[in-house]
Amino acid sequence: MIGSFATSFLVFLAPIFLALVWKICDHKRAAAKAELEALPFDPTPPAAPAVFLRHLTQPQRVFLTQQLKMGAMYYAIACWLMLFILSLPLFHALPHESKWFNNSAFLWYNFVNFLPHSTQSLFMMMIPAIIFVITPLRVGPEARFYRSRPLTIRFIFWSKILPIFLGIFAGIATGMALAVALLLVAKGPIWHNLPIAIPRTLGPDDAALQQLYRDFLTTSVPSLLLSILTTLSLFFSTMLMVATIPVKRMKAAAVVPLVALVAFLGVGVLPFLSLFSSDGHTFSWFRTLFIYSSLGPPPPRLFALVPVALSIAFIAIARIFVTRLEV
Amino acid sequence: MTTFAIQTHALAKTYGLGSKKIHAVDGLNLNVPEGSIYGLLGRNSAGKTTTIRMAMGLAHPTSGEIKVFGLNPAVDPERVTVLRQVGYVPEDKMLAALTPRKLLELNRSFYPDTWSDDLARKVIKRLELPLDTPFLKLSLGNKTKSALACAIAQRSRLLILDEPTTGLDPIALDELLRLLVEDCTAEGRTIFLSTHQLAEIEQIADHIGIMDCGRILLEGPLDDIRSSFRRLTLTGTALPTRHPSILSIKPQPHATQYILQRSPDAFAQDLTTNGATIVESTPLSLNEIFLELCRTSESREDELASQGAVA
Repeated sequence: MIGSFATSFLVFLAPIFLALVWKICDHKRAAAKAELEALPFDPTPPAAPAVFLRHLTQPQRVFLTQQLKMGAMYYAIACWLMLFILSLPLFHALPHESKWFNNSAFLWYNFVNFLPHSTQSLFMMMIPAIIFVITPLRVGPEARFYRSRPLTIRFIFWSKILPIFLGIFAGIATGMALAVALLLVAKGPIWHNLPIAIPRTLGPDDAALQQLYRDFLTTSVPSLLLSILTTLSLFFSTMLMVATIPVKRMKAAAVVPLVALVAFLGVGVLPFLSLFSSDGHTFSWFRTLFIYSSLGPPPPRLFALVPVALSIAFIAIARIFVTRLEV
Repeated sequence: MTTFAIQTHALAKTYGLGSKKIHAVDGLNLNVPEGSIYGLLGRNSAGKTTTIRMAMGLAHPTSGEIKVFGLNPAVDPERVTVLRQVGYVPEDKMLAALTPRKLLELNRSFYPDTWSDDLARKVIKRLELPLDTPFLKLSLGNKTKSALACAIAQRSRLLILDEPTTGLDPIALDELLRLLVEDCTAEGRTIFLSTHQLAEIEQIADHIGIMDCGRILLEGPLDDIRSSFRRLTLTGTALPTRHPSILSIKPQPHATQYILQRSPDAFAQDLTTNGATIVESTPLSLNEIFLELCRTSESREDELASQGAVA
């Protein structure tokens, strides 16, 4: 397991770290060079706007373009993260004396099992995403800068949320598609060769494996994907709502980001993390509401509307809160 | 008819709750005429920055009203119309964590209709602003210059500067004052600045507002204010201790010194006809006016507090 993780790390995460280090060094080099050259202030005229941005004012275009770039960055990170997590099974050693139906089943089980577990990693990614979303709306100089430019609060809010939100979900979808493609290229269409029942060879000592089989066989992959969507949406919207609570501004302005951060981590993250019990099974009523991170029988799909409705409501509340914020 | 860039009516802003409630602005009535250089003076915690934040829509009034060019700066879409016409330098000079060049380029793109590259270059040159120093390496003075260059080059109808001289050396300060007078008041533009630098503000401002404890103590054209204050040293018997013109009285060894506000000449004439002799009559500097008003306000507050305690 450690060996496979190390291999996956080298293959998938090392390039990101190297790219990051290279980018930082390059930026520092460019900054030092610019400082030495002391060029005059001679800005280039703004480029012609893209077609879909033409109906916007220039300040709106500038702000939205920045956010689209941020959304693209989140798209790339989410895509890469999903690809990394879902390709881990490819590096797993296949069981020798396995009681599994076949190797394909074992591989597919791991692949499907990593899907909900990716939610926890994506949670961690959501936290900086929320900070990026909320910073220009409430925290310190950046908020003051953007809120004193000619942009409506509504425009700032939606321009911040939508590119990042959609970027993350599009990244997840692309990462999954790439992972499936990778699986297909490396192992072929393994999902065509799956068990349809618990093997009879399993005896009374194999209760745990029987449970795994039961979960595996009753899992619906589309419902599992839907649960990732609903869980992350609810997490994102809850965090957003908590982070935008218009805490009365103290005279000491530094208190505000601190209060926001504490509320945001304490009220927001912990309950979500507690959804995942130590054995990886989610509390049943959360599972019913399409918030889960383990295999097993899916809840009725109609119930997915509850977290979706809650997410929409929380985002709407955050939108109201944002207009009351003081920076 | 005078039009106003900023007007407030009974504006109030409180922070905190219950016993910890702070009245940052308390029934403020402010009138900033369009085309003026208006200096808002006040001690620390007088409510200047809170007033400015409300004018920028960054804080919401608890009660009362604030209008910028007749519009409410707290509510969209009026807020955007206001912000399109306002250049702003915040108290801590922190705008965005960028080099001055990138900050100027970013700010430029928000004001395509009014921004002037030539004016930006002029400000950069005269304030000697290093354009490519990383944000973390910028001194406070250079952060101030960077924020000022952004706001000035916007060529906005109204320039709101919160303590714009923070961290500036005397040469940069002198250049800034020249820039404000030469380049920023053209075409009827208004400058509204809060500051502690009374000597400097006296050089350029034509209107003054003095704030204390969230209220305006005095407001008007600087020349009118100067002429309405006078220090009068008198000798004589039965000199008055109460009169609408008297701001404060300081007994001296052989005379009495009055600080007068409103109609000092009429007051002096009254006394001389009653047998008093004027030993000295001198105008007050803005600094002296400020100090006198703040001290008088403070002693009145103390008086009211002690009366309240007795009651």
